[in-house]
Amino acid sequence: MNQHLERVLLLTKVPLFSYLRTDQLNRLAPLLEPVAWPKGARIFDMGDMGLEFYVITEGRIGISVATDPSQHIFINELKAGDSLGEMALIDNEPRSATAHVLEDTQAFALDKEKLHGLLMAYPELGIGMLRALSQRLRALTPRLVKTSK
Amino acid sequence: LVPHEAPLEWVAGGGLVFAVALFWVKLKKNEAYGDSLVELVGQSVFTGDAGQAAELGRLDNATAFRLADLMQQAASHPVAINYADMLESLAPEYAGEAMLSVYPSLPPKLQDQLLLRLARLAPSNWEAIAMEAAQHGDAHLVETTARLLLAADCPAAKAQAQNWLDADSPRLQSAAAVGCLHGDATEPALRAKSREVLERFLTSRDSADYLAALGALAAMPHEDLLPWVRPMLVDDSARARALALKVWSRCPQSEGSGAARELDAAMRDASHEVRAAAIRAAAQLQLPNMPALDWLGGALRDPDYRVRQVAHAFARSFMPKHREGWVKALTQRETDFELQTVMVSELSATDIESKATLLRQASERHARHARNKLLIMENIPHAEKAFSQEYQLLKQVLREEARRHLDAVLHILGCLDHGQQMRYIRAGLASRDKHLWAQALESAMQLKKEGHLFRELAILFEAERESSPLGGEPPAGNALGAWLDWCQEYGSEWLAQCAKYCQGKSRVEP
Repeated sequence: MNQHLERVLLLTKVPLFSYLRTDQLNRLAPLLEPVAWPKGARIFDMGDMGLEFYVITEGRIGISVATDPSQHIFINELKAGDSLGEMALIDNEPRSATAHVLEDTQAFALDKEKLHGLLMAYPELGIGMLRALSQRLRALTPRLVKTSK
Repeated sequence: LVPHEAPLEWVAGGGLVFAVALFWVKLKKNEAYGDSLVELVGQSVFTGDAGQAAELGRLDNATAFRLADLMQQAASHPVAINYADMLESLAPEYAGEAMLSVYPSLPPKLQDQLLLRLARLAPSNWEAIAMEAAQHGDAHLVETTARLLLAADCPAAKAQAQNWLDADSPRLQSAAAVGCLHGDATEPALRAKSREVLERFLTSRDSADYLAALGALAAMPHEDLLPWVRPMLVDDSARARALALKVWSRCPQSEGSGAARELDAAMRDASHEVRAAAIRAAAQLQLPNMPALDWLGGALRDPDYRVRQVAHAFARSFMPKHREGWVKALTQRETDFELQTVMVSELSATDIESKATLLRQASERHARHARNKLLIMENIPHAEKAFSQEYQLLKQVLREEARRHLDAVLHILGCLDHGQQMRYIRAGLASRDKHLWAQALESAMQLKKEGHLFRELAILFEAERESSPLGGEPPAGNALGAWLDWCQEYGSEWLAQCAKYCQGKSRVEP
């Protein structure tokens, strides 16, 4: 399939972009940079400054909050369709966790400036981001309850 | 009312008491009106819509000065500017004096923003007060003061002109030079020096120099400098390109050959600032053969919201001027949905006699397009290779476009309805709550004139939302190839692109 249309089709399956129409995705798709990491790599470490956020298209990523970034204790696992790294781009704080590549992974990257531009251009994208973030919070709540007990 | 036998003194006395009472009531009423307006303005009820506030009535002298006091106490500059807007709209005859009364005590940045209004309203002694304030102000205020006072031929400013033109700052030099060029009574020597300063800066390689000159000219364009401004339209600096466009579009000589070509290039510039300046320039220039709707449509779809905002603000300048133009524009640009929405709103605001007919015809065309697209979408599963990714995408695009046609119909019906009933119906139809949706549709069908259209909409909405079968034959027969051709002919650019791709794919993989 044509690479561009393929990318649009892929984006239609990403929950973050679910509020956008395909013609909007068609305009947005060229702004995304394809990136890839081999199994075992670290995408970013806790405390790094956030410059980009990623939408996973293939592979698996483990999220760790261990102070030693080499430790493999994951609080969450992300798969195709999930996004990561958006928090640091929104609040300008350092990365709150370390991202480990658990399988060869492919993703689309979007830098801070482009993300801000897109949020202005397509406010629906903000709703998608809020949904992704609140789903992540919901997923963490039972674990927090369990830990506090 | 007056008895025949009543003494004349009694009648006169009664009349006098009545007149005094009436005068007192009127005074109290004006006072209460002023109080309430000040209160509403203070709460920013009329933010950004000074025209609407002006329709409410005028403020008296005392209330205007109270508003100016509030402007002085405002917590932020945008709020203070809001007061200034209100003063200009509600009390144009007192606004200048009222603003001038608080001007010296305002912060320099706000003084800078108010100075143009003062120059426009020209209350007595404004030049002296502005000149005095500039002594204590920042560099920006001095530049604006120099430009405006020299343009107004203020003697005190003229005495300073030579110093300003020889100053170290290119911005102050440029501001003074532009002011001198605009002054009616500027001495020839000063005028010549001003031209020389601006020409030197505009041809300088230092961006600080030419941006200073362009900035001053953008605030007050002067056609004499146009030959030096025009090359800046293709400058490397986006700021310079945007400022040059602003100057160029506001000079009468600009409508020369190549203007449309230069604007067209600016519309596709990488910088949002230039694209926004280009659409504003096109609205101001009104070139005879400019592709107005192409430019406006592109700007309305621009990925940058600032360009879209400018396009919305200036949309009216791009609209057709007569009935035939509207017919052509509405039919030829049915799938440019952003443009179509703006055109419908603008048409409904015109005085064109047959606008209701034109709008109804447009709504019927949109409903027909929605039906055709839904029919093709419905029939694609029966076609060969229907489950391939390309066709899944094509179906999604068809569904989205059908939905946008339905939204266009609702928008048009909303514009036709002066009772605002349609607003509530539209809100109900946009709801995901099935009961609310059904209720809104039921109300819509009761509307006499549009009832038949709503019955069609009900069926189309059901097909789009619930995938319930529409029945009937898709346009252009029953062959997949014919549907793909139809999509390319009647669909949006995006639908055509998807259909073309599916068509190419079918040829490669028979």
